[in-house]
Amino acid sequence: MSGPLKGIRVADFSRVIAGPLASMHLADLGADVVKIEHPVGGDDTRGYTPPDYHGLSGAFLSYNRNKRSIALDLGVEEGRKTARALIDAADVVIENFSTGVMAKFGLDYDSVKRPDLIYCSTSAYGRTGPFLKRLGYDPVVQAESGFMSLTGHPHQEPLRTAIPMVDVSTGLTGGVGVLAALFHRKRTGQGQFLEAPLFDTGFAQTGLHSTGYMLDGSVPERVGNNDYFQAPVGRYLCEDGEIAIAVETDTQFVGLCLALGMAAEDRWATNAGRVADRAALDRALSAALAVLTQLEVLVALQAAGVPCHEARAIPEAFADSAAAAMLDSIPHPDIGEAPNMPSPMILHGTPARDPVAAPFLGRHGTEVLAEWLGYSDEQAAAIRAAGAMGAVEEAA
Amino acid sequence: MAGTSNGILDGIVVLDLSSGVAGPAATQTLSDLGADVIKVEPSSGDPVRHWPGPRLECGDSAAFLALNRNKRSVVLDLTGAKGRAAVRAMAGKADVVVVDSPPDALAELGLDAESLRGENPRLIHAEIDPRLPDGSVGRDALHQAASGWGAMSGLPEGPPAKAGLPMIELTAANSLVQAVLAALYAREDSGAGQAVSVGLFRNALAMTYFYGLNYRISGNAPARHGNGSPAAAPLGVFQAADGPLQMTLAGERVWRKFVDNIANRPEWLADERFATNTNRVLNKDVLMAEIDTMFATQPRDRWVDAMRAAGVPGGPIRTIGEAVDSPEVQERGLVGTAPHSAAGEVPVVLNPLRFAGTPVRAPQGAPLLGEHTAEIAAAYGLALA
Repeated sequence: MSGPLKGIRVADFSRVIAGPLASMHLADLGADVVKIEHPVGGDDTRGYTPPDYHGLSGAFLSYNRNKRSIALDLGVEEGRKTARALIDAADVVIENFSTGVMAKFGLDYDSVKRPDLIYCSTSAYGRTGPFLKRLGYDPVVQAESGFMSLTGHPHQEPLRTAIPMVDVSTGLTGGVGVLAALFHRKRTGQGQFLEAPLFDTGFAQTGLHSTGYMLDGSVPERVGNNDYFQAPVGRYLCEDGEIAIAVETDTQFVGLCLALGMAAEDRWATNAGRVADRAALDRALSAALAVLTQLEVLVALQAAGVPCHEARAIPEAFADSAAAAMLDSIPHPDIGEAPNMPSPMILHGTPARDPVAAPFLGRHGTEVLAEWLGYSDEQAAAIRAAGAMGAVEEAA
Repeated sequence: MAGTSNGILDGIVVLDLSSGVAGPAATQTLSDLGADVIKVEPSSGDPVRHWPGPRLECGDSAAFLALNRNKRSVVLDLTGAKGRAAVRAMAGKADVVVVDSPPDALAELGLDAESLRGENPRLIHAEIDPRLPDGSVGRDALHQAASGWGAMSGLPEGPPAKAGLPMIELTAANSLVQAVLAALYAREDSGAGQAVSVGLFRNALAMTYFYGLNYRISGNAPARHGNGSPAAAPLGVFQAADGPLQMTLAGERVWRKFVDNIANRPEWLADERFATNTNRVLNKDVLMAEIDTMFATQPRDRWVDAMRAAGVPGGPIRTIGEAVDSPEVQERGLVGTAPHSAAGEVPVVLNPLRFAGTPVRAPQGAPLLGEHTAEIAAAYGLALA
């Protein structure tokens, strides 16, 4: 194992997406992440099938690379004791249960704290305050935060994003928080409790618009595939395919008009003018593009220096050679290898670990107890016999 | 600022050569964590200052305020030798430099990792790589389009809809911050900086997550499901008497809670059409219409309060204004004000991270263009005249 976080132990009690994404990025950076799962079924995302890859769901593979799994029943005394021992051996704890669950198990921050421990709760609406008991769901927060009101076409219903982006942002924010806390600990020896709440993160990412509302009361309407701040931006149908255009400067806009033989109306001379007249501009552009082929448009616009690209769905996008080069398969100890989505981070100086695909449920129980706690095989077997540690799941 | 700590990254100097969304969002987070972020701008300023929409009297847009708090602004002309020399001099003393130009443009300006790290081996060179698969440069919308990410959301019968926020750039920003923090962490032991990179296109592919992986596993192109799901019902968007709401019912327990506590339609539990999730999916149109009719009879808050009390996942679909004014935002203190040199004070949306030991710093409003040029020139001994 290598990477900048080599040697950092993460006891990961989180499930579904936000917490597991946070810990996966730490694992990508070299941390030793042990995923503590319920022996029956484990993380919910294991069940997000079909499809499955030898018994592993696409969702589980997406958020659990580079981790090891131990199946512990926290409802059993021996399971709680083992979990506590893992926390005592860990540098970082991550959890995203509902408020009160970790306390019920005696595993909340106040119960387990020590000066050098970093404990991250990706809570729903905070572990304190008036909403601490409310459960958190990505689609609900997309709705409540105002995010959903921005996605979708004008005069149609608001849309949530297909990928639960509030969960994703929360996981990334939690990862930022833990890394910052690790840096602080490196310098001072001090750990701490921190939170990246789902609602707070979902709302914070609307800052581009909520700041404006606080300034002058403006409430944005949906703009579909156009952009709020620049025009023209959108997806347009050509004779034989779809193209995306995103003009950033007035010069590019002049180039666009010349390349397409489109009249450059005076009121479109500035970005502000184009945004104000977005719908009419879009109609003119759509008409100009509809009679051309995708290739004609790409060649003309690229020659004119206008930012553009084929607009694709996943199958065409993944077939592109540049994309295919990033869409690798990575080793899996039980099934040879598994398809993988790339980590967005590249660190050139501290080479990333060799990636390993997400584990079967309970695959590393005995191994982790030996490595982290020095338990013998007999001790591990006793914990299993007490009904606290589940069996090892096999490939389907 | 001497004598007081700004937080975890107090004393870390970040030279920010980026503009737009991703780079500035990343350096804003670093500044929230306490770093001293110096924003380098051309005399025309970061284009975001001029984006249309709500703005300050001094001309700066609300979007600029949202991406550039806590920073200091210095105007430098990177196309001229003097400006480049000044940036290289500052990079020689900085801990982190953030760039978002394509590699060939950086190399031409001598701002690539090799050049800058050659003079300052402790430097972390952090790059947002803006290149599309064909090598041309694009921002959020084009990466959504090129990766397939932007085609996943939308109504089943309609065209795709991209995210209403630049999610590829905003998530890339968070990943870049993670990479920078990891590099700072590693530098504590090694003494050496390094080059780190987040590609917008690579990030867009990564963001397709299980849609992308499921396609690679099954070979089936993902369909658009709007606010619904092919696998569960009833869920999606409903119209209450005074506005839309969102409800997510997955699983029998929640369905029963909904029938007993929200709908008060016990006969539904005995109705064969709605007896299982599978049957509810098959009879979705009938069921959704029934629920829509019911929701239309009462205001949204009445339904949402009942859902929360019963543990049924749902919430109001708020406009941006309703969200800002909501009890969740106000009582959790997610917005505030910050001092601003021209406007006195400006509104801010605060960083969502809550550290018990080392809180994020108190916000300072975004800088005016070149507000700190003289101060920084003096501090770094730059000859700009």
